Amino acid sequence: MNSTVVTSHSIILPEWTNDILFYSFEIFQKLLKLIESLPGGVILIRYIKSSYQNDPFRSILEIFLVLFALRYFISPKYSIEKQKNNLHLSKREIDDLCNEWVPEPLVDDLTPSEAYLLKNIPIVDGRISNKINLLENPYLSNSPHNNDIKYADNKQEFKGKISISDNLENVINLASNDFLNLNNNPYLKSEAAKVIRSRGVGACGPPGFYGTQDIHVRLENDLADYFGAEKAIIYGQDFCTAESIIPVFLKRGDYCLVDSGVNLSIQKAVIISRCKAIWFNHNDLNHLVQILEDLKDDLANQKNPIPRKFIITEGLFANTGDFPDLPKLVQIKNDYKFRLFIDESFSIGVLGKSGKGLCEHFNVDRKNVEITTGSMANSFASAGGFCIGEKPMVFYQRIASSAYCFSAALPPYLARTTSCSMEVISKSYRDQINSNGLKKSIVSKLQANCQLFHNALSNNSNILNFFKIVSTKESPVIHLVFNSDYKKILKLPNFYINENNKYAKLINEQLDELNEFNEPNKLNDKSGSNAAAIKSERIDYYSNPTFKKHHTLKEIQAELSPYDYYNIENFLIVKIVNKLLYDHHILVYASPRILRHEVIKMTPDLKINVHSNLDSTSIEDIINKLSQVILETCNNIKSFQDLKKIFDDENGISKY
Amino acid sequence: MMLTDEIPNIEINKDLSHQQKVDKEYGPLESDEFLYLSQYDNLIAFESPPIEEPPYLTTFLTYLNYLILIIIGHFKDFFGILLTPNDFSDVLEKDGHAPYYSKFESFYVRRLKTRIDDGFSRPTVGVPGRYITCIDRYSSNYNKTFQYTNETTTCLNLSSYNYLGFAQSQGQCTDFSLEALNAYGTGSGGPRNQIGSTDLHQKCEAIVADFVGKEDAILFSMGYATNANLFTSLLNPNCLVLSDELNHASIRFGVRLSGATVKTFKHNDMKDLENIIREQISQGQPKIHRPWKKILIVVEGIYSMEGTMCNLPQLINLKKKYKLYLFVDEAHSIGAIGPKGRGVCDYFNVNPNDVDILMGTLTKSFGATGGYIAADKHIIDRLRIDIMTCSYAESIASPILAQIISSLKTITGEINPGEGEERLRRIAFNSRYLRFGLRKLGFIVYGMDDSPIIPLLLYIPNKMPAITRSLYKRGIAVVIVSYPATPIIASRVRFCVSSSLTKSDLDRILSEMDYFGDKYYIKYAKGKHNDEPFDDKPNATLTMFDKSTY
Ligand SMILES: Cc1ncc(COP(=O)(O)O)c(C=O)c1O
Repeated sequence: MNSTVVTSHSIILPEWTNDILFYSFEIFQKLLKLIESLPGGVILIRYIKSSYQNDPFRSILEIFLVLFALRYFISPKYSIEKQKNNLHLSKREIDDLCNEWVPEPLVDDLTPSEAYLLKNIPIVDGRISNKINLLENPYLSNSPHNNDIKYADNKQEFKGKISISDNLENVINLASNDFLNLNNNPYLKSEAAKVIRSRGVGACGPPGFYGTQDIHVRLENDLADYFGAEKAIIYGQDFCTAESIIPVFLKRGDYCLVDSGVNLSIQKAVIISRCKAIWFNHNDLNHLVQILEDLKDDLANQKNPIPRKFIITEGLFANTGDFPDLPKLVQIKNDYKFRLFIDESFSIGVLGKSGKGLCEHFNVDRKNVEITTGSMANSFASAGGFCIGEKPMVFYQRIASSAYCFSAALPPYLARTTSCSMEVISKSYRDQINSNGLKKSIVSKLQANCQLFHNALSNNSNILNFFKIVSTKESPVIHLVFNSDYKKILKLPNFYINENNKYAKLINEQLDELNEFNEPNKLNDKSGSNAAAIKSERIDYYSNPTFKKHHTLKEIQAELSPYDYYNIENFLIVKIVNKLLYDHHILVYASPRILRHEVIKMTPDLKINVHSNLDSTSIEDIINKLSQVILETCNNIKSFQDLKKIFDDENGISKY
Repeated sequence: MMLTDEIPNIEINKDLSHQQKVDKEYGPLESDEFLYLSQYDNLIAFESPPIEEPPYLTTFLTYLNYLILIIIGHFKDFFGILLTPNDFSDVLEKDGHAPYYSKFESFYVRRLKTRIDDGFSRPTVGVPGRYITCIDRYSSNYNKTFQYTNETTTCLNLSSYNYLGFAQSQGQCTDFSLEALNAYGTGSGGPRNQIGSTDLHQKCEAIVADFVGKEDAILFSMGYATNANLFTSLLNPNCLVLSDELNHASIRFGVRLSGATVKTFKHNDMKDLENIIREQISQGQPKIHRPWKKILIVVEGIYSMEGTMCNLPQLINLKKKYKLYLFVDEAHSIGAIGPKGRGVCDYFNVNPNDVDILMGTLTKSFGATGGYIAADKHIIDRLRIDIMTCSYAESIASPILAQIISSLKTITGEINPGEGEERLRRIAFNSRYLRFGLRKLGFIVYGMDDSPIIPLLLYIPNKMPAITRSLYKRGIAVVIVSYPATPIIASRVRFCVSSSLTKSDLDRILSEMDYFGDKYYIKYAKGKHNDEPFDDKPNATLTMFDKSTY
């Protein structure tokens, strides 16, 4: 033991170190001389000497200071790298090139199928509630907006100007996301009115700069309490909530495993975050585990620092109306040390006995989900998005999440509305408990209606001849897609991929389910019978009066793109929607998803939004009418040619 | 004093009469002299106002200040993590999980910003109008958490974006939006293309399009999201974006999302821009040298941290010369400048049709919230079905639409003729008056004379808390901004002028600033601008304030 104690005397240095010491001393002396010869150098040296004598610590500090100054302020200057392979051009050559350059038009004109979609966006006259009146859709009409429309109280005059087709009044609305019918709740309205009367409408500033009102702080507390989380933060719009949060916590080098059925907001966020994203088959937790096993070694090597790792999924999928097996998911994420991110936009007010979402549905503590985001625009009948979770996670968003920092706060009246919605939902649940279940809460009513609707649909063989129900019985948004038999008859693919997008290609290559695409009716397969059939079809854009600009020969000869196929399939759904609307005054909708933006595979779907105020007879009635309309429409369409012909006729396209 | 963790429920303005309430939100005009017309003199070629440089000593002290803060911060981190790791649980690994943010990533926030956090996110009650009422709060742990008192401080409001003073709880706009709330409900029901379009949306879009001078317009529920999700629908990876280096975060996010290549040019530097244009058109896309498909110039009308305006006439020349497209974000300029309040096109008297896409937000001048995009009809038709927010995000709620419609109609004079014009002329006067006053007092301010955003340069970071705390105590609310929103040495305090302020309010601000300017040594340009006239037009009637009047 003793031998390890070494005093300074006992150090014997090898010969050459002496030389080095000697020379470095020599250099140091010369350096001092040099400094002394500079103006003010003597003072500097004296200063350094005395400071070293009196307070060696201070010298170290000062040296640090200088080094830091150098490091922080001198070195990192941005330099824009010149392109290495730039051509050298004379001024005249550049002028010529600039003159010759012809840009593409800023936007492409609408194709007939897109125009059809635009013309069929429903416009509601007045409030959006269970029964609505629809206006004629003005888009693409030649008359510009009618400027002298009067305000709501002058409805009469209003009607005189734009004719509301008489048969579009009193339409049963099954298209709104207001599942609990709170949008016109008198309590919410009166509270919102109070806020507008005392605070005006807008918040007039970002949350960081005097845009936060006491109401916002209270809402954040209410949200945290309601969901049993530590903290909450609110955003001005639901769509940009996840889009802005994910890039805060996932940077280059971090990992996320994403369900391949997530909504567009998450898709965009994951791509823009530049983290390492791996997509697993929709709701396939075995696939997830398999990926995690494959990743294990990779991750084990990354110790210092360990990357941030998330599993990203949804509470109730906006795209498919199903949900993941949360207890199993929690188990998996704990096993593999991942965090869980869940977007609960559609599950709040819907799942769980009191409507608190996926966690309540499975009786899982909210603490197991590290990040929960959600929308306040659906069941809460307000607007904006929110995020709940641990303190540091929320804290960091307040300065790093750009949609929070660089945007005005939510209008205070909407913040108050959300607080009140939670109050109403909780109260109605308490009433149910207190009355021993006699007085049904609004959430129970909704859940019962979803179940009724789902069951009635599943028993309707007419509908199931053509459609398949994708959503689960708990979902208030019922997703119907054409079943594979009918798709086969129409020679339409089971799924569409946004082929022009490099991420969409990459992601779908990763996925197993791609196999489904390799069936004979895959779009790109030019030898396939479908492609051959379609090749012979040409669209004459010229004969359609709405499309006049920018048409080249190439476009006239254009074949149908995958996007056109998508739109044509969607057209059939819109047709069913319209028939149901005009014949029976029931509004359901074709999903407005945009293939051009999505990176996951998708297919057009018919959606029906159930709400809490329906009763069993009306549900019965709706489904009968729906099945009647589907029969009437689909029975006439037995091949792609049939479909295309109807499509062309309706859009004024004549064939060559 | 009672301190609580819960935010107290305070009712303000209980004892005020109706008129007093109205005046507190929107001050009465004191004299017809205090009006001005905001318009650019087109005979003079546009020049961006020169950037005044601080004294060398100030620059040096600024760096030194940061240096000390950074060193202390690192010391605290180093020893803190060694000695009290519990306080640092947020930046340390925990049970195999990486922290949400690393020590390095969050250094600036934890070690610098937290020190002055009392100047940010002050919770307010009531209308952010001429006055704003803040709930007083205290921190016993260096701004880690705050506790609230039952007291409030009422401040003159130079912090909110309320250019035309439409943040009101009385008057025609509030009446309209309450009516709409009653008629249409609180929320909106769903995305525009699903169900969320109502007659009110149609009407509001028509009015906005008319106001900005475009064929058609489309509305969104959030200004940020308007930009963030627009560019994906216009551009693809074979397109080029020429972006001003000071463009807003929403634009940068949106452009990044679109996958287009981005080249930034120096703020408002048209020479630099032209060089880049020529180089890019002639060289084409990198590596493959194919020509760019489209080139889009992206600028803002008024820059929110600088108070500068884009050089619109020159941008239009360039755009025409090189066949480019032009996008102008009018978030801060719509309503705030121009003889009719119609933004930069109005101000420079150029035809709005020369700008391809006019974007703006409704948050700033109209007391509402949301954003719009205005363009030719064929562009808007395409965007209606192609913009993600239309199909996926909630649409703008009806009470907000009513606020927009009624405030726009007030500006155009359809409702309460004369009121709109007064508002426009008051903001023009107030902006110039405050700006010239501050310059005369010897402060360095940035920006165009007519811009309602007046950044006053502090440079040295520790002046920021000093100013905001002192002014708060004296009943003036201002915003402080520093890195990363500005260059690291250009910390500043920002005054957002509003029509709702009266001339006496501005005089009060000037007198307070005079006092604190001397006290904190921030009159960096003292004596340089003593003799500047308020107005460069020779027969202007107004005499500029002089120190003896307050
Ligand atoms: C130039 C610019 N664009 C967009 C926005 C975002 O607008 P909003 O606050 O309405 O989300 C802002 C707001 O600060 C802005 O300054």
